Amino acid sequence: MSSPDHLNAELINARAAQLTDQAAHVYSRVHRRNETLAAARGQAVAATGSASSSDGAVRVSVDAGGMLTDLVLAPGALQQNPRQLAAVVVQVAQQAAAVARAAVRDVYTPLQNEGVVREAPVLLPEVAAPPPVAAPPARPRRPEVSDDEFGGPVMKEQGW
Amino acid sequence: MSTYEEWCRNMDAQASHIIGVYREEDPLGGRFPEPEQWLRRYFECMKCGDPDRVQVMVDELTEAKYVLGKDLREHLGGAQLDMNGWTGAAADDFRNYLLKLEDAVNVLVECIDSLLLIVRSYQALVLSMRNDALNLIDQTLKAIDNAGADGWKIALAVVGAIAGVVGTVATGGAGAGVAVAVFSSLVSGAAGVANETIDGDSEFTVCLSMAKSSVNVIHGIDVERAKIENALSTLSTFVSGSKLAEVRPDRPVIITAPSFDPGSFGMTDEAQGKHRRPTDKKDLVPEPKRHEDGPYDDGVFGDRYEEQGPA
Repeated sequence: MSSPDHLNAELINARAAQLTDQAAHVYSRVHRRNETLAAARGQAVAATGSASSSDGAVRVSVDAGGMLTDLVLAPGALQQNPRQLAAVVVQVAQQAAAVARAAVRDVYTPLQNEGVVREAPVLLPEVAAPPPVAAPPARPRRPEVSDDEFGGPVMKEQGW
Repeated sequence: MSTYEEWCRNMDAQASHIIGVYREEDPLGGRFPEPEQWLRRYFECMKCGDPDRVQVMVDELTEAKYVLGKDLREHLGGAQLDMNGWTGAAADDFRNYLLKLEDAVNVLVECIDSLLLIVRSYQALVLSMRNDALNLIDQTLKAIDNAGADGWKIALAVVGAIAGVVGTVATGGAGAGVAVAVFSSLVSGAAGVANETIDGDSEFTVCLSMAKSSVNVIHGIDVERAKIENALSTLSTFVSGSKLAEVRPDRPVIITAPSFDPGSFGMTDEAQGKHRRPTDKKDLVPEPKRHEDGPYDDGVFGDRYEEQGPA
């Protein structure tokens, strides 16, 4: 007398073999994905970004996280007004960070498209196109102190 | 490769793959080892039981039944016929012994029938357990696929075959004595856990869900296994202790009595004719040797089977 399918050891084994193949496939996929992710993570961590001002006087390098790793100021940069120089440094640093983020994004975008990862690591927002660095408006100079009020002798040769 | 070996090979491979996925995705890096241990235990448990060997047992028991039936017809029936014409206390005692032996054989046949029921229930339990194992693995793999694809939390029901499976095989119960008692043991008790759910929103949480479910499935198997053990215990009460005499009747008293006179054990004078009257005073039915206690004889309440022990 033949046993029903669910009580037939050979049919159960056939199904088991099928599921073993599926389990192997799932494990292989997960393993390969994690290997790919580990490699991508290494690539992303190693990503850097560099940028320089239009005149080349200011050069900035940052790591994948946007942390400043190098700053080069040409002698000419030091001739600028300090405020203007600071603005240029900030702008160039942001450009360098954008380059680094783009490099990280380049690593993860293909993996996202292939469905290997659901989302790329959280990155800082894109930097908007940098506004031209305008020379900061000249700050009104403090009026010259007249000698009439300061600097002269306290004791004056005049009567009470 | 036997079907059992093939099954074990598949279980080992699936354990390796699923535990592999769990390890790959474990955010704690194995610092919480219990789920992996649950999964390992589950796959090891699923390797228990060999239906092929159960089939061998069924075949052997069926053969034993046939031999007992044949003995009953040919030897016991023949002995009773040979007793025709014999008179005297010894003859009556021996005739009574033969009748008890016939009853004993009938009880033994009933016991074998009940044992066959238990063994078949065990076989069904093992195969249902395997089906449940595959259902759980199947749904886990599906859940991993879905979780990996879109990240939605999913929940898949795993329909359990194990719950109450032992009771479903025992469809009899119409017999008397042994059969009824064994049948009652097989169908009584809790039904166990019927269904499990695999859920999660990632490969890791799905594997974790499987690990949790595996504990419940093993519990369900334990519930059914307890029924089989209970039925075996019930059956053993019919062939041991106070019931032993029903399957192994006491030897004819007169044969073992010190006053036994072999000469009185014979036919009537006319029928005896020239035949020599017996003179051998040795037991015609020797006292069975007592087997040494087995590993299961030392029960909680002392010697479980008193009929065994040092000879």
